[in-house]
Amino acid sequence: MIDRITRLLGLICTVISGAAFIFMALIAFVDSIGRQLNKPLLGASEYVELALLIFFFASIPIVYRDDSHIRVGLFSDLYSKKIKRFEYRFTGILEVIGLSAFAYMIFDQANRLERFGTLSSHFRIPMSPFIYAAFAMCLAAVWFGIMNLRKAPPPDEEHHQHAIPDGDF
Amino acid sequence: MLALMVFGSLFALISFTRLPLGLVMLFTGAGGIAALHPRGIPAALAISEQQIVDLATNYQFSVLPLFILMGVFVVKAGLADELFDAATRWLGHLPGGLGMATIVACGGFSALSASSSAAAATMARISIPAMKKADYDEGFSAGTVAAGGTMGILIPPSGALIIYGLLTEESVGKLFIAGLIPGLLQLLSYVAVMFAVAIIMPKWAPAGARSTWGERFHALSKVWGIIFLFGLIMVGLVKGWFTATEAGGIGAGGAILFTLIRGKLTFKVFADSLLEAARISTMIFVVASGALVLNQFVNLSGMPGDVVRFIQTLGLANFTVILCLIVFYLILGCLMDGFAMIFLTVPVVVPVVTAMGYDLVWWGIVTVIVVEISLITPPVGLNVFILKAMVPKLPIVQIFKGIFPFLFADALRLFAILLFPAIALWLPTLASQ
Repeated sequence: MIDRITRLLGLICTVISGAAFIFMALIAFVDSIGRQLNKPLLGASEYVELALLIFFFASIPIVYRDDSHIRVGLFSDLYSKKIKRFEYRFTGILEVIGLSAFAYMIFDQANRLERFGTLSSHFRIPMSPFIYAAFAMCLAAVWFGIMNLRKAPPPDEEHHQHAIPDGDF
Repeated sequence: MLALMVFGSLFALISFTRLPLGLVMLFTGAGGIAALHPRGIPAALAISEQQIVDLATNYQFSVLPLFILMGVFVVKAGLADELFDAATRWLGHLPGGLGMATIVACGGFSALSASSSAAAATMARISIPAMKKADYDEGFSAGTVAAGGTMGILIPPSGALIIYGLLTEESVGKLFIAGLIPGLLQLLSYVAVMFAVAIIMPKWAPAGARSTWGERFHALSKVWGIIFLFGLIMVGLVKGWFTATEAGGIGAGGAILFTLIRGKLTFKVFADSLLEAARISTMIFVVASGALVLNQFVNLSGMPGDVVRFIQTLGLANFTVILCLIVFYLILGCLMDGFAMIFLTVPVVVPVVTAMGYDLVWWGIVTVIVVEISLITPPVGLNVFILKAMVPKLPIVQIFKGIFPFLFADALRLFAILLFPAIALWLPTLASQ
């Protein structure tokens, strides 16, 4: 059941992130061509901004799921196996707490924008629903953070090198 | 005192634990703001939340995922292989020709990718087996790829320059234009190093077979799109046809179109590219959010002013301060990843450089060059680790030995740009006229 929820959440976030990315790239591409022909796309910058917001927040759970963070850990490679295991768990718990606080901050901001009735600059639409959506995606990231706690610490040879994430970065 | 405590806890947390850099910067910055601001925690929350949401909706920042997407497409569609093949056809017969081809392909790849690690990892997969087959010295060939890969961080589009622009509010387009000549200078100096090494140590880098003119032009015809796309982006930026964000749109859209025309756009390539670009962009977004919150704390604490006043009391000449900063960066670069270094130091260092009256575009290029060098200096050289991971049997000392001639060229280039800022500033000045 838990694994199914995790897979489903991963899929939803991936689809939202991909759709927002394609939309953003398409708008930026069409607008940049349109500007050369003196026919800019009206409200293009706002479309891009809103798509960027959705894209980043939908991708945060993916970053947590795939553990693709920039980390430093200058001395953590020097720890003994026992301390490494402890540090792995300790870091994981702190990460979940930190991410929950991050999610709360986004909720708090959405709440503030709702109270003030903040509207977007071009289309004059309320901003708070977008930030509430961002909060929901942060909650998905917290879920992945908790799921990561269930995983066993990686063996020594798979331990990250300094600041090298898992991707092709 | 508070600033020291905040930075002390930040360095302790990122050094002794493997907590994500972005979260650590975010919470130490917010903690510092809460301690300084008369309204305490509510003010820290409001400032931090505003910074995060502003960044996530920053139109200028959309340039980063767009250029990352362009680079990822180039890798996933296998266009980097064709770039290396074309460079080999044209240069392979010269002494050290395969190495030169690796460097030129790294430069070409860097022109379409915002990341140096991507350049090193991709080119290592393609060129190391070819150089091994041609009897190149293993350490030197790995060193060539590690050094060549560093071009990704300077030759536009550059992820590091985008971040620098974001933190200093400098124009990303102007920074890209400024990075062009120093980037080309790097490419040419590396080719010269390769030629010199091949002459002095012929066994390290022997000449290869000569290709016919037909083979050369056939190989070149496969990469016309990459050359056209980079040319269009750079000419467009220099001529002021479009902004950096618009260039990002053209780059990402153009890369998709080119991949489609070449018949390499499968659903898997498309989906994998989107996912990879999303992961890389968001990883940087998390750190950038933290850096902006920390930036707010630094400004609120008045720390930059204190540092400037302290430096003034030392009575040092401005250029001596610049040299001290570079030594500081080089030492830090031996211990820390380049991106982490930029995020952590720019908020404090840039006000010092501004107070001395230096141009921030020039300083951006100098910073990125020092970060480039940090990618290949021991003990923590990110590109060296990537090469070590891809050629596990090769001792890391051998890779550093192979890198040494390129480090010499880097030092000369850095001094040239320090002494003659026009190398970086001539083109942006020309573009703004």
